[in-house]
Amino acid sequence: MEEEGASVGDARGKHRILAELGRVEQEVKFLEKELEELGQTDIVSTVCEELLCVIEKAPDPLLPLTKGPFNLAWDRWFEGPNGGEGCRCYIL
Amino acid sequence: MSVSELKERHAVATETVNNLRDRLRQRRLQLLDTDVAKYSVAQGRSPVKFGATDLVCCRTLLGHTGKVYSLDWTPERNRIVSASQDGRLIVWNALTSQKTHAIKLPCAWVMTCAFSPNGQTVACGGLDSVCSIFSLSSTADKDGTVPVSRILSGHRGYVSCCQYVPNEDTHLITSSGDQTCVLWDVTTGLKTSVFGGEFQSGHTADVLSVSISGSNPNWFVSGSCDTTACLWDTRAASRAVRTFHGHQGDVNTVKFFPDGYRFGTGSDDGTCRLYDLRTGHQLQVYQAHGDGGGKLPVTSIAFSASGRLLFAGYANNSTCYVWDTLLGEVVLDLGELQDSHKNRISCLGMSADGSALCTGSWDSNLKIWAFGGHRRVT
Repeated sequence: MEEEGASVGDARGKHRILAELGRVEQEVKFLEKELEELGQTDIVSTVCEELLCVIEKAPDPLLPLTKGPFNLAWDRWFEGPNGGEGCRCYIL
Repeated sequence: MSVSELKERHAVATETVNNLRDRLRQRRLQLLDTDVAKYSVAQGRSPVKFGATDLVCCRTLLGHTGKVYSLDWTPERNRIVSASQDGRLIVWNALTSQKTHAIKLPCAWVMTCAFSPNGQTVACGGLDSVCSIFSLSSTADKDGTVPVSRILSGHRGYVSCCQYVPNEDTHLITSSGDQTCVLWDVTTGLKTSVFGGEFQSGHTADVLSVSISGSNPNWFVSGSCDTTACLWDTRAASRAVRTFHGHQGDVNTVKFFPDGYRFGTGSDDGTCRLYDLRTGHQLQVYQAHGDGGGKLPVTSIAFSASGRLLFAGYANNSTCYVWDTLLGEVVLDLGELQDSHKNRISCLGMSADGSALCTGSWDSNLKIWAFGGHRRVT
């Protein structure tokens, strides 16, 4: 009975290790592919060039100097009573 | 093959993985010929200059009686949902400061909340390990209790963050202390996909934050206590598309850049970083000087509409640095302005049109910040 128990335990252990091994070997393949792709990847300065372009052409309501078009709705926070006299009750 | 032979093969494969990771790190370093700040200076750019009264606190939302932990705007501009230590979700009209809902939660230990794209439901999650969905058209009893319309259960740890998939009221993504992220179908309450966990590769510690790309809702990024951020494609859950290294501490917060092809992170190591999705490069490190050598944990971040500004809340009294993302400099501290918070800022969110930033704090308030100075539009 003890021998049987030991071999069942072994089988489960083997199953688990096989699954783990499969995962690690799969990871090796993914990492090798990533290393290969890195060989064709742009250097950072190329990405920076793109980033500068993206940032500078987009309108931004929070900047003192920004590309248009201006939208009147950006300033809706300053229309009406300053501070917005709304509901001040606390939820207890 | 015997168990011992398998174990040996496993050890060899693990060694190969470690070597490959080292080689990847080295190869990546070789491609880091500059960073955004050095490049921008070389291109003749100068930092954004704010006048003393340009960014102002134009609303203080009063009502919570405990620390605010999370907030989210609706896509249709003016409404916010917030979650607090007081065990409530409050829905605000940020323009009028009115509270439209104050939902008493079945579990007071809430950590995150989110608005659905159509603005009709809110989701929250926390230490109860579930994500609860509430319909805003349900009637509350006098206590503020609203029936839960759906419970998304299945996580084996706390729900740290939740976000609806843009333009899809039926799907949301959660991150959890159980090291996984999950894409849920809200109508059935079932998991559509699990990212990471016991049987798939992914994070190896609690996941603290998620952010879904606005330009490609199949992509989302996650940040974890394992110091990495991961990019996932919801169509292929078995493995992260890419893992981003660099941080030396828990990644507390991740946020997509407005164009959807880059993302920012904030960490316990005191830095924010900007990463590029396509190349996997770390583009810039934003590290404050002073304050104990720039080691104050970053609690939350948000980008302005163009991405030129990065707002970052830190784990001390009220500091919220406004970073010029191109020049890598702090151009303002909201904590130094009039009417600033009196305690740590725990969460940040930008309105859909980029005209206002909402900050939530341990002082139990939310504040709305907008540009009130003279604006030049070219």
